Amino acid sequence: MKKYQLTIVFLGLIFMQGYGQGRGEDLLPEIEIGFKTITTGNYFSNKGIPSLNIPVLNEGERTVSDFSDSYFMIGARQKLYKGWRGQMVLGFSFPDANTGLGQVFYNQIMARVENKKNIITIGRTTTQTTLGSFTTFRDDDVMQFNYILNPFSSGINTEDNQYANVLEYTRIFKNRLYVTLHGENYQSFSNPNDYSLNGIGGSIVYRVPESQVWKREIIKEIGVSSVNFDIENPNSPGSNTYLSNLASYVGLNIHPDPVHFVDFKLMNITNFGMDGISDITSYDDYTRSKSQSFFGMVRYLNRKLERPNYQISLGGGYKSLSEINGGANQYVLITNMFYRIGNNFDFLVQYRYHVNRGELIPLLGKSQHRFQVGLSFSFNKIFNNQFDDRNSILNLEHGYIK
Amino acid sequence: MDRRDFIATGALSTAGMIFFPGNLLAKESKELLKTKFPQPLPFKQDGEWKEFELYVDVKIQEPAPGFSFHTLAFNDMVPGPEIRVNYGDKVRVKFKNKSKLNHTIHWHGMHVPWRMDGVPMVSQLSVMPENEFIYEFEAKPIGTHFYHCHWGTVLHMQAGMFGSLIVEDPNDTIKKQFPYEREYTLIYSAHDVNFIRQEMNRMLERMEERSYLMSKGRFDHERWAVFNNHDQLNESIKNGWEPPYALNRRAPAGIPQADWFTVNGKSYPDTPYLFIKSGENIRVRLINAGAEIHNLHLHGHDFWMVADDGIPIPQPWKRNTVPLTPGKTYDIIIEGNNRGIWTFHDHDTRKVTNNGLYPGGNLLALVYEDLPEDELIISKYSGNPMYKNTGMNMNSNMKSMLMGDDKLPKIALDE
Repeated sequence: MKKYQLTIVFLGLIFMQGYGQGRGEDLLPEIEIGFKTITTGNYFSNKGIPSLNIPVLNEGERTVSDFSDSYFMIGARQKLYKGWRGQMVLGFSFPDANTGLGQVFYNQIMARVENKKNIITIGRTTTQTTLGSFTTFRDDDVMQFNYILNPFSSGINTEDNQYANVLEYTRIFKNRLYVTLHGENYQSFSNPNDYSLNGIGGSIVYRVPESQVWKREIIKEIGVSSVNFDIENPNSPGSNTYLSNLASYVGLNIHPDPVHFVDFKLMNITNFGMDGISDITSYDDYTRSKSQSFFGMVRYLNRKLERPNYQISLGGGYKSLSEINGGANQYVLITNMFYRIGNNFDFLVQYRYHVNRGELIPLLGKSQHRFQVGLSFSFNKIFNNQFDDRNSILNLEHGYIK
Repeated sequence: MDRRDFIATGALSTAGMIFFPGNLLAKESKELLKTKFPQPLPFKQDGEWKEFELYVDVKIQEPAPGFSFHTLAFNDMVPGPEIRVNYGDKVRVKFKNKSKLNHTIHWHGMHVPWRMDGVPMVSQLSVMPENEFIYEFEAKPIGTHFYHCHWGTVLHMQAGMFGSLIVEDPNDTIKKQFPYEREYTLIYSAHDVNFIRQEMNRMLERMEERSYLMSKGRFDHERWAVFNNHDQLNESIKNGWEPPYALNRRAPAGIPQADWFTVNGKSYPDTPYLFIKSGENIRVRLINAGAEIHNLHLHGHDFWMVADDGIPIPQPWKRNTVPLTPGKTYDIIIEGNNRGIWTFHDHDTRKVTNNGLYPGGNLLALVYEDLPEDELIISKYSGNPMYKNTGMNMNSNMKSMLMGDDKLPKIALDE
């Protein structure tokens, strides 16, 4: 081999090494582990015989042990070049029994890149079907009132409304205004193997960072979100149209006191509906007909030694399906209490009363009393922490560090 | 030999003694160097008092190019400005707390009245946000001392709240024994920047609500975690104030593990260097304001140990390595008797790293100003055949690509 050939091989080895990153230690990212175990004993007392095949709606009384909504998540985050950060999250939760999702549902499988002003998310994760979170035991406790419902769902599970495969871009203005454009593939009961986008939308949310909560501003969060489902037009078979929903939300600090904290959250969802639905004969009709829903919740949080001590919430919701001939509406009352019995460990009590009226009774039953007592253990820990959050008090008030 | 090994070999053969750009003797470099030593704090003469003003606030510090972290800084600088007074001066320091955390100032090594000692809850209450405290004392004893915050020292000291305090002796025996014109102050520290970030965030958040409760007259000893006596503490424990659950001062669970090591607030390659000339003596004041031991070793020289904690050593002795323990100050005299560029560094080489990567940390150099330019030429003085044409048959472009200019010193960083 000639000398110049050797030189080329030598240089080739030099420069190829950089691409593989094959030798030496890579920088260990931040690793975050989070879990929540929520276990309750539920007592149901139901009236009416629903056509929707969900065991907890069956008429009569029953008591069950419930660990649904418990979850485990693991994530990793690290700095990228030019001030960006990358993140991945893998997580699963335990759905309700008999929901067709199996014992475990992988609700978080996503990657995200972000910098100070931009967030891009790809993968399965929480959707934009709700704004803000209410202090119910489980996220789906009043789902018919505080979530835009997935019209492709069969209604036997709640995860169809909460999670989807998403493409999402958010632009952040002045650390508080979040403008998001998104497209989703929502789970479809009738076409489960179709992974094309069947939803698009956008939201504008003004959100006071958590680290600024003691600034005592009255508005904690306010926003609107539009979610539009690409759905077959019932009046023109073979062609599609959009089923549009608009959600608006406000979270108010009523009494932002460090010991006696009171806030109030209110959500309104307008479903613009599909034309021609005048009767509720199926769950599809329920999610695709015109409706207005409201849900509000007031919360009192008592803090002791700078940590939560106990919390009491009271909420109510009302939903009206105005285009249904025989009339259809529903309302819910809910109250609960969390009491801290140790670090990360809460004792829970919740009562919920739900009434369906008019044409909703054959689908969902007449009414339900639900009483729950249980325990919750949640834990979240970041290992190998190496950079700050966008919304930390240092980054917000003393100069952002990339 | 692959690329990594190749570069590692190159770095080992060079980085042990070469650290700074070739223009370090240029006028611009010398001007920049002045900013890498503690800045003198001006004073106002008020009768018999020398009156200084210090304040503290949150600031972003860049110890090395490309890396920044939030610090607590006296007068917007880390370390704080240097207070330099004469023995016996009446010193008044007006301290303003512009941050939202509590602080005090302790005058380390000084014989101040006990109420001026700056130990919170022992000699004074802490200086709360937007409050001011006036320290007054007589400057004694002579020597190299320093000041630092004594509140939450695990955070506040490593976050940058320290500065040098020099009490000069008009009849300096050290200067008489080792005549010198130039002197340098080097303040060493070590930082767990992740601990600092998390702890400071939590502290600032907590102070938001504490300040609110104070303004409403609803703050109490349990939230403050400060008790008047044991009976009050025991009573609070019976009432549910239960350590460790109530003891939520520290953000990360463990003890801080320093990952950045600084001299005068900077890490290599931004550390200062010490100029000297052949035949010259320089005095170097070494201060350890951090919580790690630094075994400082000077290449090519033995230096005179002339003061320990500011106290002159009656019979100075020579050595080339000194363990600078936390809270310690040493004064050394370096004699310019071996021309060159010489490393002065922590021989615990874990501390010449930046977040684990060598070279970094408190690496610095003693630089002879009278070093002839041609002594910097690699191929002329190096015995390594790699730098000469007799070794690998590389043309000049290739050699330039791999070695850079045929001149030392270079900035050597991990690949």
